[in-house]
Amino acid sequence: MALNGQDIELHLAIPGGTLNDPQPDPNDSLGGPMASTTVEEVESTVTSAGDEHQFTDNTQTSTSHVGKWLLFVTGVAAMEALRIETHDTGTGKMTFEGEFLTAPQVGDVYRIFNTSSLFEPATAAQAAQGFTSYRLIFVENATGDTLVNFRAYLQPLDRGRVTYRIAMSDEQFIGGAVGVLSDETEEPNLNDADFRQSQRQFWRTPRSFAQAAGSTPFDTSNNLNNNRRIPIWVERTVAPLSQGFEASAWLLILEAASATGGGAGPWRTGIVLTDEITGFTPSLVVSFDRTPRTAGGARMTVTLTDALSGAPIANESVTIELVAPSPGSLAGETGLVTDEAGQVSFVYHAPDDEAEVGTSVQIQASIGGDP
Amino acid sequence: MASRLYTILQGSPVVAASTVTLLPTGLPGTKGALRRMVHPDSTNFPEIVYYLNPTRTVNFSTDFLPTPITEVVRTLTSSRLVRFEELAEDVIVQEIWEPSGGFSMPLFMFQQLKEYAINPPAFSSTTQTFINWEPRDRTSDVWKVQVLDAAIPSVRMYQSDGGPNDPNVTGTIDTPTDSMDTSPTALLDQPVTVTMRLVEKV
Repeated sequence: MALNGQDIELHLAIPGGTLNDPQPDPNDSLGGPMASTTVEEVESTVTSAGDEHQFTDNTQTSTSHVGKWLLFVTGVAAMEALRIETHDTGTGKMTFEGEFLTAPQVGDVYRIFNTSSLFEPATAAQAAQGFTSYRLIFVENATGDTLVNFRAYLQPLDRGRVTYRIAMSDEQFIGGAVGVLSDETEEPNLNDADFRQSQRQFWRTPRSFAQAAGSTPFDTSNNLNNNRRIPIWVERTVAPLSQGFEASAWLLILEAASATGGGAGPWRTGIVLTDEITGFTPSLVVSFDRTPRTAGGARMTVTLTDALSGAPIANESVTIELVAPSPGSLAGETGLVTDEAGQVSFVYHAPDDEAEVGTSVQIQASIGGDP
Repeated sequence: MASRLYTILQGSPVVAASTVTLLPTGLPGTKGALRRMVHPDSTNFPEIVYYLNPTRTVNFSTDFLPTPITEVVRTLTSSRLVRFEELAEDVIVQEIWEPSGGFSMPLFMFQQLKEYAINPPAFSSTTQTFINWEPRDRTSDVWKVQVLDAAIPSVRMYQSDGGPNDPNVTGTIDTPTDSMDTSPTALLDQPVTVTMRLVEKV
């Protein structure tokens, strides 16, 4: 049969469960049985060949929540990592940027996965101190054929302060207690040398594989047998002092030269591993430059810094409010974005009314939250 | 089209607030009331209520004090007085803060005044706006003025570096690198003069 990427399935691990239990939360993918639930979220079939492919999701109404994606593409066409380029919230159509290694063909099926679901965004504290965590995913060959020269490797797309390593494990990790992590920070029972990071250090067979040749997922020629599964550990390391840095993006590539049943090759698919780092632990300070008098005013300054490092945070929108029943008014308080010093400023005008002497004036600033 | 499931994380806003209590200014035309200046650009410049009123005010009492130009000229039989009247717009008013008890004014007040002086309203040939000056301790009138300068005449050029060698500053400056920062608590020990040209009564 023809090599069809739809039959290369991606599954999550589910600790403490039974084989093929649903595992809706990738963040719990810490070893154990292979969940039947993939991380699929959107699937679309190519209806016209071309380099632009659109997915439609009418229920998504805001792009602000859909930044980066983990993408798993199935189809005879291979592609690089994609990210949302435009999103028409009216029609729900999303256009992606990225490169198709081969032009999409009519009938190809693509699936998209939420990138932030495999690893939770690193918190500011983790980013400040450095943090290493692990996830386990399974790749299953359901093509009906043997995948020739199957291999997996990592390719950095956007180098940031986050790095990845992968290690293939063996099928003992599926369905039993072997390899189940108590939490994401526990290192899998593998040698450090089992982890590979660069494209040249690709994996073809698990180094720690203990089963006899012929009964392994791989044959003696590094081909992935039909209906066999490969556990792949993904190690993510957030370097210390990473808060405030942009996300990293790495591509976990699964590749096969061809399939024994006559499938055309090479075939390639990828999982984009992107990282959202909570850039800072926000610390907001609202200050008056003077104690306002009636008929007077004050220049207000809001300073946003990282509570951990003390560094100013620029380019953050700040919402200002004169908290009722405070008298007076504000000017220049809308559309404020912090400058390089992490500051915004505006003006408070007190009422020209001596009856207001002694009245409290409260001014509130906020950042974040849902738009 | 397959179904979809997005997890949308609800953001938690970070909120901070500051609270102050309004201090009195005093009613216009009331003895002891503090003087006030109002910049027409209310978006960028808060009103200035003087921290303390000047010790001297030149060419203004409850109204402007003109200084007419007079000349006595001889005639064939006697002499005549020639007098050129001064209008309000000819009057230059000065407010002077002399050191009293060792200091003339807080540095932050000088910086507020200086800010007005170096940021005059934008020129317009048709809709020119002016700073309003309210000498509330003298009158309830409000005057449109052009602030010519806020200066420390005893030094040719004022430059506050906020450091220990700054002769004009005693005490501590909170933000030494920003001489126009309006939050310092330092005190000026030199006389300060604000010079303004009256335009008209509002």
